[in-house]
Amino acid sequence: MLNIPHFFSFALLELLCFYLIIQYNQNQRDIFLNSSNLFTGTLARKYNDVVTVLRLPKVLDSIQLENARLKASLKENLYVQNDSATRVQDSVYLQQYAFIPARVVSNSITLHNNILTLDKGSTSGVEQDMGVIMPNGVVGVVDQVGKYYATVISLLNSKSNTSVALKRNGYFGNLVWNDSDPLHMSLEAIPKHVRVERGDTLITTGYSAIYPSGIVVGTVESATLEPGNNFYTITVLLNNDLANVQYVMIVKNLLKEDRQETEKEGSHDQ
Amino acid sequence: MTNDILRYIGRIILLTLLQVLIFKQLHFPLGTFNYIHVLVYPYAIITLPIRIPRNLLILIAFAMGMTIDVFYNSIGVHTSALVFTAFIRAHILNMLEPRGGYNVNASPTRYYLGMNWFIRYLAIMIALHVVFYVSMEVFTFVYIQEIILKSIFSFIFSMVFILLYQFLFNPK
Repeated sequence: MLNIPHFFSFALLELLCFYLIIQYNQNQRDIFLNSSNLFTGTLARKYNDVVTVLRLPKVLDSIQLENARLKASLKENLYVQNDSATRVQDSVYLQQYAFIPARVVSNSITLHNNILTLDKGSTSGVEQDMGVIMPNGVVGVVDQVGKYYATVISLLNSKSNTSVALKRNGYFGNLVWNDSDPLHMSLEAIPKHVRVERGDTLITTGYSAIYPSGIVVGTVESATLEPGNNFYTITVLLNNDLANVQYVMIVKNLLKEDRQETEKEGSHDQ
Repeated sequence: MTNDILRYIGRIILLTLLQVLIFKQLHFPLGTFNYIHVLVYPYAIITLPIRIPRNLLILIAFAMGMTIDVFYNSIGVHTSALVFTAFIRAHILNMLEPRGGYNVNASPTRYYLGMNWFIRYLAIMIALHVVFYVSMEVFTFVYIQEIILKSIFSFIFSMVFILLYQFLFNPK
């Protein structure tokens, strides 16, 4: 015993003391148990945080799918099959709009003609001229469709021309972009006899069969009547910020072909 | 020689008794701060002969610490501090070694090495002991402020009483 290095006997006895302290002193015992719990608890929580973050994209995807499903079953997106001759009391709804969730993989807001790219293409059922919306507004219209990707003509594009209406009275006009900034657009063709006020809500009309009707697009920021002009000059504040759009829904109008054919036949007759 | 051994054993017993019978009962309330520990027993370990085998010193410290802990009802707390003091003693002695080295038969006391040297040595040893003891007693660095305050006041009071003992008995 007396020949071993004194550091070892010291360390040995200290360990023994530690054991005795924790074993026989209530305070120290509590502190020891508590702090080890604190340590392992904190470690477990930190680990959990990291794992949660890593799982997040997957969770988001599934939530988006869920959202698309739920949105498709909303009444506003169903076509009322209202046959007046044979009035059936139950099951009167036929689905008109379906939604394809997509992620924005590239986006621009500073150019004259801004274009977005989405990560869904023809394999997911995307077609040209489909509308693209996001939770709080409209994004644009699908332009080119590849197998797995599609480009979207953003609202912020000189080619973009969206039909929107004043929610208050239903008068509609065209929403165009004039290179100002990604939050502001102009509303054209609102005649001067209509009452327009600052803060009026603008919604999609559904006339073009691209977007479902009733989506809030933005609000009127200013409306002026130039002398000698029959139409208002209206500045619109968009409801959504296209500068940070990440997840969108592509709108698929299931009754589009029928409508187009019908309208074509109508124009032949004229 | 036998005389010396008996004297050291006597000192260990005397200081143990002093500690557990008198200084354990002493309380110096300082406002709401009532946690001053007067620790005189390290003196017995600190002043054992310089050439004593280190392992033996640590074992003596362990036995003495356990005895005191039994009276304090804090098994392990004083012991761990005293074992630490006994361990670190050799290193502090090395650090403070005078130019000529230590006398073979000397103990690190005022009697052999003078007042200046002894106070320096004593202060270092008591400070280390007190800090270690208070840390063990509080047992968490969450209360670092409490550890520091307790250490400072305990150190001052311990030094006062040990020096008093030193001047009264001037032991070899």
